[in-house]
Amino acid sequence: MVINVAITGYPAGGPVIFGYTPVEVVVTISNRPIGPIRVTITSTGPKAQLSFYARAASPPVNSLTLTIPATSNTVTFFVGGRFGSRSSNLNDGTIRIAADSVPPSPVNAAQQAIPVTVRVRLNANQMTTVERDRFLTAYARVNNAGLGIYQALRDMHTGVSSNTIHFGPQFLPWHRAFILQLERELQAQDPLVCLPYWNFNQSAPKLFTVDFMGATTVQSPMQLAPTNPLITWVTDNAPLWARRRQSFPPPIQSEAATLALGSTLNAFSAMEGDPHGSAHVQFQGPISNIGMAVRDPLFFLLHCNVDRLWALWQLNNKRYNPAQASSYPNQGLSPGVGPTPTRTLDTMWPWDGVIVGNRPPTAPGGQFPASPHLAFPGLKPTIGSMVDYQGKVNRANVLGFDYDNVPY
Amino acid sequence: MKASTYKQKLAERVSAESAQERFTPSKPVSEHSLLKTLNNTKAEMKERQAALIGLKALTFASPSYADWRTDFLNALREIVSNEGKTPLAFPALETLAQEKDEWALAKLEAILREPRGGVVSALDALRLLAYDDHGSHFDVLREIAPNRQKGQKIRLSAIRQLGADPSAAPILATIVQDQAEDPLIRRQALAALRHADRTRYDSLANTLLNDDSENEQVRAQYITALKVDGASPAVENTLRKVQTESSSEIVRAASESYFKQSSS
Repeated sequence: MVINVAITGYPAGGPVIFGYTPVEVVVTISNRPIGPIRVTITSTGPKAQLSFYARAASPPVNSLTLTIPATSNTVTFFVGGRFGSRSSNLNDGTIRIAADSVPPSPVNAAQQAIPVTVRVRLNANQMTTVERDRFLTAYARVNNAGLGIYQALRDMHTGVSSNTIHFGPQFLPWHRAFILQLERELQAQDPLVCLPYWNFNQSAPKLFTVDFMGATTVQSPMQLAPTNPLITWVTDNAPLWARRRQSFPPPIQSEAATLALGSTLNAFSAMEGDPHGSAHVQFQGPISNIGMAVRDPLFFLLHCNVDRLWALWQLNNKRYNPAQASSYPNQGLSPGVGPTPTRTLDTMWPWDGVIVGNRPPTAPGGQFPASPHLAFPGLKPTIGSMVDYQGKVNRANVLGFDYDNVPY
Repeated sequence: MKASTYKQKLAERVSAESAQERFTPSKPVSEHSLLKTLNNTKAEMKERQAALIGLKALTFASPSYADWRTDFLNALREIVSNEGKTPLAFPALETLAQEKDEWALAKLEAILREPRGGVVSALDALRLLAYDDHGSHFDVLREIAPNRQKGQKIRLSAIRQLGADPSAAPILATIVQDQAEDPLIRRQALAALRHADRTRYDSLANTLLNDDSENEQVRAQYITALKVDGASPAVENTLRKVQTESSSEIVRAASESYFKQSSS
């Protein structure tokens, strides 16, 4: 008996990297004995631990036993990172698949071990030193001293594009796509890296240090350690960036209050003002201006947290179906040519390249970057494509990211 | 914690928050009331500072910002023109400079050239001129950067901005090479030179790498930049030597980190 394993979407022999969102595993038995076969699936580490699902919607379990009837050669199950677990290195998780004949047939056993990696977006303040340094190196490489794709990202988020990407329900999906683009660029540099988030509702003493996003006070200019890769940062033809603590920062709405804004996205979108706007003005410097904020590398960590809040809200209210107005209020397609993309079926600027009508006059950065193992959301993502990010309504809609504290 | 338990606790937390009487969802302060406070010269300064920051926060979420932008910027210009050196002057000028307000940028450049009587210090003016893409103040920066009579903060800010000025490369290179100079100033000059003149940076930085008597912070910064830039085989050979032989722990660690990240 021989076990063959295929993981849907992943090329054979290539790295298998996922988050909490389960991926499909197809087990095929060749040279099978007569009679049913029992397949036992376990997580054997050494580091990342896994959860298994008989079907994508089943509750997670730590091990799974399935039976392949005498009339079949295959069985399918799902695997994702176990909530709270993550990899430290590539391939430090293992799916162990053991098959044997179901008694009273003669014993005929086989097994297979598939190395996998679990990566999730982390609270920046809780990253290990190794995780932090990997992220910073990848981030600095994406910036590439002002010559990398980061400058295009910066050019997407300006005063000119402000009305296209803010001030309405499109704010959340557009920025979800925006930070996902950066994350895919980071992962092209280092596949173990995810974009971390700045939880602006908690103090983050490990984030605002010379070794991470820069030490900032009310009085002193920001400082970086000589060993911090961000010392090479350049945007808008200027090296580094300025950031100082605000003298009178406004209070930021608590996480619980944000999640309690309402059970429809229309109500939840009020978070664009507070906590989102309030978080931006905790500092002086480019981060406090809508057209300049992306100059500061903190921008993406701030928006990662905005997106995490949306993900938590989605979890709590089960708002994953883009076809339901409670998950996204503006359904269908906007009329006219070059509308501000606010409806579920509208493709988003700049990735769709449309620069007429209400759109900005240029579309920096080209089309949306592909993932090595996901076809979604395609080169020209729609507003609606950002809603069902864990594929709970349609498994084909998985976007390929998870948060450390947002389970599947 | 199990995912199912976590989901349950999350629901309970949100439910408890919603049940609180004090909770009033989505009650933004209007720009009109904030503008009124900002314009009220009799109001407490702290209140007006908070109003200004509140208005900035609103710009991140107000679809009608275009409608009140002019009033907002006019109010800020009034503050700068009429109220002198108050705690509002800096945030008002910063907001105007971020909006590329030509009047404010000219005002800042004037303060930089003649700080006496300015509503902000020369240092603050210089910081805010970082928002000016024209670079018409770079001649002043080129004077400030090498001048040890000036304070560290103003020199750091000047040097940082000179990274956008290729003609400042000789000044930056001189600062980097000057071992008697403040190491923080040298590091800032190294970062600026890397952008202003890459060829000059490469040749200078290689010298730094090979000299074990050089300042360890400056050397470590150069090695860290190599993690982003990549190094030639020759430089990598030197790095291997540095990794084992340097007397500085931080330099050895930076070299070790280079090889770790390169292989990731």
